[in-house]
Amino acid sequence: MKRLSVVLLGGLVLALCAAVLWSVRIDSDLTVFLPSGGEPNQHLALHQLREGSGARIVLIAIVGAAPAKLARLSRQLADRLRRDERYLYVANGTAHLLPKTRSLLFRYRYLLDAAGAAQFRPAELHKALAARLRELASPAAGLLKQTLTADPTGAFRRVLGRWQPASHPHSRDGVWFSRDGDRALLIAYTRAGGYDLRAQQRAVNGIHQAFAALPTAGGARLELSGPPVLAVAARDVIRTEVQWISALASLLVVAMLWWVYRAPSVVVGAALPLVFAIAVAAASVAVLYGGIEAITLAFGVTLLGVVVDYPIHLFAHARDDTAAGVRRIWPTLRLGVLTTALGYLTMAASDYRGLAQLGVFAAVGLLAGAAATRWILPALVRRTPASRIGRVPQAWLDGLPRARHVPVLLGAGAALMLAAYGPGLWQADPAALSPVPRAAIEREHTLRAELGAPDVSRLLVMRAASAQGALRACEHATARLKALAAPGSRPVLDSPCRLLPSIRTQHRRQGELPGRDRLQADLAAATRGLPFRPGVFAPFLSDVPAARSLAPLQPDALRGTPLGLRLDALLVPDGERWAALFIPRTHAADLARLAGQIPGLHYINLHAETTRMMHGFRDATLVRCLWGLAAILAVLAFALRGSRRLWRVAAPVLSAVLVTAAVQVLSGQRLTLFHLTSLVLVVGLGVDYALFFNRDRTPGQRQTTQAALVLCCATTVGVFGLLALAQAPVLHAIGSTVAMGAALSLIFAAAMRQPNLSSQDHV
Amino acid sequence: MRPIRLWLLAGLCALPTVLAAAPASWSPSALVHALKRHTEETVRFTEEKHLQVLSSPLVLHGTLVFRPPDEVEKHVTAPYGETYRIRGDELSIERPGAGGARHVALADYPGLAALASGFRGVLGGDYLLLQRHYRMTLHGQWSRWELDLTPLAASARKFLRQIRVYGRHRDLERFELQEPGGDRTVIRIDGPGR
Repeated sequence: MKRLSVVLLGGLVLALCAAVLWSVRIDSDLTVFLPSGGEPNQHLALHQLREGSGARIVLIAIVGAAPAKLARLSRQLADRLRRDERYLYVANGTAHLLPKTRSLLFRYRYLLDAAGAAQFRPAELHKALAARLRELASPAAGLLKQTLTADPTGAFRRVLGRWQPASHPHSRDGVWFSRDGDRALLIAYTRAGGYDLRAQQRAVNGIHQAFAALPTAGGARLELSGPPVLAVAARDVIRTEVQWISALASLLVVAMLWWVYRAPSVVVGAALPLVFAIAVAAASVAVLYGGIEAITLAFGVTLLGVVVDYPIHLFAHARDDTAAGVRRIWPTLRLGVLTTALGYLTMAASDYRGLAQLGVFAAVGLLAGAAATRWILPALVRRTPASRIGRVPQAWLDGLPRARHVPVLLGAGAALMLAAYGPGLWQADPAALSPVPRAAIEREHTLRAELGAPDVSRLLVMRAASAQGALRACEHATARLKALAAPGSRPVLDSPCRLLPSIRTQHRRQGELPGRDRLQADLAAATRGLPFRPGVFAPFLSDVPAARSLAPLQPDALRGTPLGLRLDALLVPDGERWAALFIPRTHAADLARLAGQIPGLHYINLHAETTRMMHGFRDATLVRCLWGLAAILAVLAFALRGSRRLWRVAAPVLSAVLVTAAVQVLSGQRLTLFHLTSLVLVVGLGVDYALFFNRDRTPGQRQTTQAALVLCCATTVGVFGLLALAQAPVLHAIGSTVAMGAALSLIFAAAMRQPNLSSQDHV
Repeated sequence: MRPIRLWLLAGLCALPTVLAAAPASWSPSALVHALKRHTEETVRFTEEKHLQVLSSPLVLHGTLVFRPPDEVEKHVTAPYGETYRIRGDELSIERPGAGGARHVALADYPGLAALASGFRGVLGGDYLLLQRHYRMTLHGQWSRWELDLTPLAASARKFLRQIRVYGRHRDLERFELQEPGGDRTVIRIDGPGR
């Protein structure tokens, strides 16, 4: 009866977990491994990374046909995408504003134009009219003629000029092209921000589908790049590799267990604690955090692979009676599990949500896996067939020279080497972790250069309590910047107030606009000596006074237009406040120096901020890992009650960790977060190995234990060795670190085994 | 004897013209081929712009340069200096003292693109180019002709209604550009430049 109730209880827990996980939200927010709070600049940097226009831009190239055909395909593709909800804005050539937006800007030209009231003075008017006369004589006068009579001072043209992007790609037949004419270029802004990878994937797929649906695509091909494309590609690479590797790894473990036991009950039984561990861990994280990150899930499942060791130990010691076997190994297993779980729990207290989730996931999973091994497994698999692994590993391990000092010396050497490397140990470039092929990243650089997409990584920022406040602060800073530098050396900056002045400024300009009578008199004076026909400027004479009664133009009026998109990129919400961003239109401006000269103006280097955040995260993880290590050692010291026994357990583990890290560095890798977290797993494994190595008194027990240990180690090295074959740097780092760490842990533990026992020979 | 010698003389005098160009048949295509310039050529011009917004026409003087196969340069020398150059798919506008040229993509301005292909087609003898952009009508004969170019594209017709080219034999005499609003530009070729 007791057996049945245990099984039922286990089933109930699994069902509960399944119910939780059924409705759980799996997020794909890659920035979850960045801090949530932090300094204002980091906060803004994070917001830009996640939501900014830079994270939404898809660079599109059409290649593989004659230019005329490419131009036609570009137009057709842009047409389709413009009708699609998934894209905020699609551009493939010189931006022709929609008539509605154009007439809006035209109507507001005297409120938006920075030239202000000065342009209506007779002398200025005369100069403007003379300039217009010259332009009329030019072959390019066609467009001027449309606006001349209403806008003789050129205010509208100045306003339009400010809204023009900083640089134009090369164009042919009105469509953007690469310089060599081989590719038609387009850009599309996804509605989904950088945080919503699934929606971005749908947007990226939508471009492929729209292109494939074009009737005349023929031999032409599509090349996509940009942050959404790279993020989706990175996710896909990892997903594909994880899929085939985990399939192969499962096969490998099943084959090994089958070879050793030849019993389906063992193979199925070995999987049970793992399934239980993953289900409980995922459900716990989902309940605690209201969702689970895809990356936590993937990485956490990898870490929980170690749970397979528990049933292996159990089956090795079970012989005929599984329940008796579990009682035999439980004290050792319990200590191993508790220490490792403690190591992960220190991560759970981290400020970084991703790291905290991972800590909870691993700790809860290990405990659940151990509990399943202790209570549920014996109730299901009552008899274990004899193992075939027999004496082979025993002989092999006994054959290892017992060299107690070698692991310690190696460990000390590795520690010295790591210390000598100093900060050079760590991977400084976050891009090195990207699983995207180098060619794809190079393609992005090429496309970006051809499209003249701005580099938005260096900027100045001015903050205020409201959007209008930010615009006013922006105007203030702009005026100060103007006063600081001579016109030639003044950097040209894109800023929100350059596009749209604050309400206050628009009101001021309205107040300065001349009335009809005065304007008419001044215009008459200004036209003297010029051949303009009397009365042609009637539209101008009525538009200027009319602008006095317009309600000032506000950001909302531009929402949903390309202009709104440009403004949104520069005027951004920053927590409770608003930030006005200044982005250089030309590179090479000493922004940091400018920021120092104007109070309230801050310089942000997004790339440097991200790197700093990554470093902060790494340091926090390192500190957590060291705390975890200390906790593990403390628990071991308490449980083992003896410095000699503690030394025999701890020394091989620490040596294995240090040597593994040193070998990674020597092989040309730089350490990352993923190495660190993998090393925590190695500590957990190593403690298990060392505890089991030092537990047995009789040669018979020792043989059993060592057979189990070799099988555990073989499965771990096999599974993580497969992972080390992955192309994705993250997976490779985890795989190679754990595989090597596990092997070294076993070898070192064997080398430092208890002398009095191993000197005896078995019968 | 005398009349014969006179005829002979007249025939000899006419020979260079006939040998140089006289088209075998009389059609827009034959005329355009005959107009083709093989070497760089510079002519002086006077331009009059009759615009609706002005009470008197604008008058400009300068030189027009054609460099085979398709580069056209217009130097305005009076009343001010300015240079327009059509090269590749760009128009560049240069003013002395304005610091660097302004570049305009022809493709972005349909009217300008049509104008450019008109000049290029006529001076470069590129009949196919003209045919792509214009409907052509030919009046008169080799000794005095008028070629009317009407833009095919609606986008171009918004800016340019017609180009009329007047000439005698291989010599261009006058371009007239008619715009939809009633504006009219006359470019008169005054003779070889420099």
